[in-house]
Formats: sequence, structure tokens, C-alpha cells
Amino acid sequence: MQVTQAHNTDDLDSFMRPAHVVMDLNRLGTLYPYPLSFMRSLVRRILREEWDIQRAQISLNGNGYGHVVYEIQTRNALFSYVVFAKYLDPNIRSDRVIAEDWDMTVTLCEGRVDGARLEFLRANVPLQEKGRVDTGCFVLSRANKSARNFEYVVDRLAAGQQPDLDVMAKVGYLYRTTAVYGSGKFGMADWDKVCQQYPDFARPFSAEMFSCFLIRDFSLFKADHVAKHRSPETAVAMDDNVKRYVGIGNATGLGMAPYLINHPLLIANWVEVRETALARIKRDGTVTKETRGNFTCLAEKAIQHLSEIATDNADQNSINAKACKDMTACMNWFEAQNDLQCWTDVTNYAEANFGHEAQELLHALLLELFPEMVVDLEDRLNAQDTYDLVPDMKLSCLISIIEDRYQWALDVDFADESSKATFWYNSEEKKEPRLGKRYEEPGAEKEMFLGIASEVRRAYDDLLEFDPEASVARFAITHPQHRYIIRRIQTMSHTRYGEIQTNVLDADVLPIHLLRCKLSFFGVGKFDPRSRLWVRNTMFQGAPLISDIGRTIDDHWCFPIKPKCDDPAA
Amino acid sequence: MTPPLKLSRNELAALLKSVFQACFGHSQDWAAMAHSVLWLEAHGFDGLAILMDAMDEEMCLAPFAGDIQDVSTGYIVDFNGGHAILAAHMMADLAVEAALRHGTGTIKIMGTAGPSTFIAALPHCARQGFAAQVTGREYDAHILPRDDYPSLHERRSEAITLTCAAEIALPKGKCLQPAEQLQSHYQKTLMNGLAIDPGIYRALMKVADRTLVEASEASRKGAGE
Repeated sequence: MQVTQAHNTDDLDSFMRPAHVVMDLNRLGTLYPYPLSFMRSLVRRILREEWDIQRAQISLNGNGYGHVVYEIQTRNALFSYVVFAKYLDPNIRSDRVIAEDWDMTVTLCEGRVDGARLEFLRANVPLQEKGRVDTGCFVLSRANKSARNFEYVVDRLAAGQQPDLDVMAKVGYLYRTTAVYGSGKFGMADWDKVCQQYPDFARPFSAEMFSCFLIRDFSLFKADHVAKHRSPETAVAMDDNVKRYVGIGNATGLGMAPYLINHPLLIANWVEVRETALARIKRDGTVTKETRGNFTCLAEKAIQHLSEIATDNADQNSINAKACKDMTACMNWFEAQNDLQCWTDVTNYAEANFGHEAQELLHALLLELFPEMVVDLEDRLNAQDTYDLVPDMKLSCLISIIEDRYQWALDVDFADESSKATFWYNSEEKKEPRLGKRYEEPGAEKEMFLGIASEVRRAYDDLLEFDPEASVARFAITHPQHRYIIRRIQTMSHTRYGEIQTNVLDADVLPIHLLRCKLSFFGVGKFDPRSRLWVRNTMFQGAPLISDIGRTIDDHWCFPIKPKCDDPAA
Repeated sequence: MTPPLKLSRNELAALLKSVFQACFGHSQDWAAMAHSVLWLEAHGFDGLAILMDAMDEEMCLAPFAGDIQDVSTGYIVDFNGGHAILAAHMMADLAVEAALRHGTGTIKIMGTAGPSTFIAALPHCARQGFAAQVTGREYDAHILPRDDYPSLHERRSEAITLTCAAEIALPKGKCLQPAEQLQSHYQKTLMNGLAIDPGIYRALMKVADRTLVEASEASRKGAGE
């Protein structure tokens, strides 16, 4: 693809969107996956570096129960991925994090697994949170069957038929994960160790995404395996083109939401990288016959993708329908413009005429259109998550920073009870985050420290009462309750995008936006909200298979669409 | 004897934050407190044992309630008998601030047990671009600007002093532990996990669990059921 510097004299800064636009939670809750999303980045690396992924040990009975050990040889090291699969009573199968038994449990660990190691893992991995692993492991996860879909697929394969793609389109996966743990949980290796020791997985959530990638592979392998044992004479293997259309389901709840509030430097960095990519395209992306054609094809694919999403959530259906309608209108306008000079003309048109959803869909399409302007940014996604106090700063300076960077927080009227009507807490059930109603339910005295807007306001009010010439260190020692928020404010003031601009204590807070924001950075699609607090979604649908490694480096599996029934290769 | 429990740094940090939240609510910077204890534990200074020593019979902690006097080269801080482990980060704040004002910032510390805990203040100072040194009854510790690991030297003084400046000469006492040794200890805990006394772990878990809200129908609704 030819790229010329359409605006090479302009500074990139002038193409970056402002923080109050980008960090608005209502907009972050409309983000779509893009080429730097973690699973896309991971798959590019696997294909480019031709990782050798083998099922080194297969010990499954005819029903697919037992264990499988994958061995993964990367350029740097050998890893093992151990899967334990078992019969699970359908009556206790649950996607909830409080479940205590699952169809399959897995771990990703360093090196080769010998007999003793396998038995140690067998004794602990199936227990998940109730087990203990060690620093040789760095992902622990589990998944449940989509019972209806799995049985349907096995029946079809056993009968010598491929699954009906119309049926597959409704669910899109055979298994769904219900939790993926990393970063030192349950005795596993800390993130710092992963960064130091395993460069193959030293990008955000890379190991966790890899685990999901192999759960998908196992689900496909198991479907073939069970069908073959059920009917050896008639069974066929699932066609690879159908397999690529099968993703891995995921159920994500509130557990993910506090992460975004507790790691603002990391989130600001992810957002800045994404916005930098978009700004580059706005500045340098040319409108040529070729890019126009590619854009049109991508937009048609995205519209089809959205129209094929099956959810019984009425709100999500209308969001998808509106996005399709707006994008269709945008494309009609685009086709009529013969003298477009740059893509900013299109984004400006979308901003003036459509809602956030269509605008962010358009941005995701543009980011797909110019991968050569984007992919070099993937090494910038890590950030040192450190919030040091600047002790000599004068309070007058700190007050100015708050007024400049946290006006969104000062604008909240905390005298209004509804602005604090929600509290977040950890329940004794698996110590998972929950939402409570402050004025109706017990537990508010134990709330988590997530009300950033409220904490900024409290600190600001006390700062105004103190000597403006005093130092932050002196203020903090007499007001230790504000020390954390002050060092956070000081640190975030050096970032372009700062905090997610929302009051998560508000009565009408929508955690689902936090979830979708984070999931979009993961690369997850097909959002299917089950309430305002948790969402089902699909990962890796359309992605290459492990059998594709060495055959392709194709990176165009975004917005997966149903292959044509009579031509699975479509 | 029960074998030690292996925890990751992340697990211990999360546990300590919950312990401090249970003790102080939102009235303290418990993330910084947790960081200090974790730093001591991960570098071989028995942070958890010091923390347990600071807890009263009810497994509660008292916040810093000392007196601070502004002097020409920094501050004199009297802990009034309080424990130092929860205030290392604040002493670093004062030392850095004084260094920026005076060139050399000196914090003279009185009225506290556990002087070795101030070693946890050194990396704070170093991250801000300063050399720092703590002298005490056990040893003198010294860190170079931007370095992650201090070195330990034979003690030179009975008084506890935290000094922070652009440059500080290495202590004259014999080197007891070079910075590389602390780095090596830290790397071992990172690679293999932190070995924790199960009794201490259970005691801290009990404190941390005070932050949990009892499960109820309402709480299950709060998860989106």
C-alpha cells in the first residue's frame, strides 16, 4: 500500500483528540478492537515468529475427558500448556466467578512438564482459586462448554456433516472462559518475572490471551476427537474454514472494572497509543483508489459482522442496528465524495452527523486500513505503573493542576446524594467486587478506594484551607488520607490523557462501559451484555488456527463474518 | 515444622493493602505502606515480622502521630514511641523536600523502635534522583541516585538520621552487604516467590478479611445476577 506524507509539515499533536473527548467513559464504552489489541498483536507474533505448538501428550477418553499437554517452542524458550478436562454435571455448570467446578482447567507454565510436575498440576489446577501453583506457572484459567453448541457440532461431525454455519453464527464458540488469572495470583509468577524471563509474553495480557487462544484450539480438537470416537465409521473432521469461524466465548463481570481505575497510567498509555495510531492515519493516510476500495470492503464487512451478532439484549441490538445504519449512511456519503483529500474529512463528517458508536467504528476501520502506520506502536503498550509523590511541589501549584486536569471531577455535585449512591466492595464470596446501594445496603464502610472524583474533591477542599506556599510533603504528613490521591494527581498530570473521566460512585454508573473499554484493548468482539454488570463476548473468532502457523501471516481477521454455507472457504 | 508458604509479590502486596485498609479505612496511603513492607520483605529485611511487631493484641495498627519540627537542614521527627514501619514513605517525602530546599535534607528521627525500617525510604529518594543514607543502631545504609538497591555498612552512629542529597559519600564503615547482594536476594524472591510463615499469613488474612462484606441476596444482585 502506497503511503505519502499528506500533511508531513503538520505536527502529530494537532491530530490527537483532546482528553475530555477521548476519556469520557461513554465514549470508551464504544471502542472496538483494533490492530494493536492484545490478541491481534499476539497472533501476529505467533505467525511472524512461527511458534511451534504441538499437542505433546494426549490422554483423553472417548468423551474427551483426561489431559492434554501442549508444548510451545518460541524463539526464546519452551513452554507447556496443560489442560485438564472432565465430566461436569450440567446442573452445576455456571459462568459465575463463584462457581467451583468447570469442564476444563488450564495452566501455562515454563519448560517441559514431567510426570511429577503433571501430578502437582493435576492436584492444584482443577481447584483454581482453592489450589496453589508456583512461580513456574504464569496463567491459570478455566472454561465451560457451551453444552448445546458443543453437542450439536459433535453430532454433526459424527454423522459426517459439517456444522450449519447459521447455527454456528448464533453462538460462535464451543467453550467459554469464565476467568483468566495471571500476574502472580495463587502463587504464579509476578508480572515482573514474566517481563524479565519470558520476552515472548512481555506485552500486556499476552500470556492470558495465549491461554484463551489454546482453549479455543482444545475445544476444536476435542470436538473432532469426541465425534471420531462416537462414530468412527462416519465421522469427519471439522473443516478448517469452519474452525476459523469458531472463537472462544468469554464471560466478564465486575472483577475487571476496578483494574481500569487502579491502573490509570497503564490505561492512559493504552489510550494514547491508540490515539497516536489514529492521529498518524489522519495526518498521513492518503485517500487513493486503492484505500477507498479497501475501506469500502472493510466497512461492508463490519456492517455484516454487526448485523450477524445474536444477542437477546435489546439495548445492544439497538446499538448494533444504529451503528449499522449510521455506517451505511456514512458510506453513502463517502461514495458520493470524489474529491476527498484526507481521512479527516470522513471522521469530521462522522463526528458531525453520527453518535459515538459509529464514530468509533469508523476509527477502528481506519486503524485496520493502514497497518503499516500502526503496528510499530505495539512495543509501547507497557508502562511503569508507579505513582511517586513530588514532595516539594507547592500547594498552589497542585491546586492549579487539579483545576486544569480534574475539572471533570470538580464538576460533580457531591452534595447531591445520587452522586455517591453507589459503593464498590469486595464480597466474602471469592472476594470478588460487587456494587452496593450506599443508602440501602450494609457494607459502605468497607468500600473499595475507587471514587477518584470524590477523593479529588475532598483533597481539593482541604488544600484550599492550607497555606498555598506550603509543600506537598508537609500537607501530606498532616493529611495522610490525601497522600495517595495527590501522588496520583501529580503523576497523571504528566500524561496526555489522564484519568477516565467518570464518577463511578454515581447512582447511574454503567460498569459495562469499563468492561467494554478493557475488552476492546484485549481484542474482544461480539459484546452480549447480560446486565449492566457483566457481558458475554467472543475472542479469536476468525483468527488463524495453530495449523496455519508457517502458512500465513494474514492479519485481516477483524470483524469476523459468517463464511458462505456452500463455500466454507469464503 | 510447617513449611513456608510461597507467595508472589503481587499476592503479598494485595494482602498488605487489604490489611492496611482494614486498619485505617481510607485515612492513610495504605498502598505506600504496603509497598514499604513488601520492599523490606522482598529484600531480606523481615518486613512481615516488623509489621507483626507493630500490631497490637487486637491486630490493629496505630497511624503515625509524631511531632515534626522544621530546622535549618530539614526536620526533626519525634515518633513519640510509635512504630516507624508505617511512616517510611513520609520520611522520604520530607527528606526529598528538604534536599530540594537546602541542597542536603536531613531528617533526625527520635522516639521509635525498628530503625531498620527506614531503609525502605531509600529507594523512594533514589527514584527522585537523590542519593540517600540512613544511619542507625544496626547499620548504615546507602543508595545511589536512580539505583534500586542500597548497600549496608557497619554502623557509625546511635542516632537515626535519614539524609538525602544529590551526592552522598559512601559510609566509611566496612561494607556488610553490597547492593548486588540485595539485588540478588530480590531476584531470588521474584523468581521463586516469597517464603512466608503460614502463621503470619493466616493472621494477616484474618485482618484483611475485615474488608469483606458478608454475602447476601443484595450482594449477589450487586454482581449482576
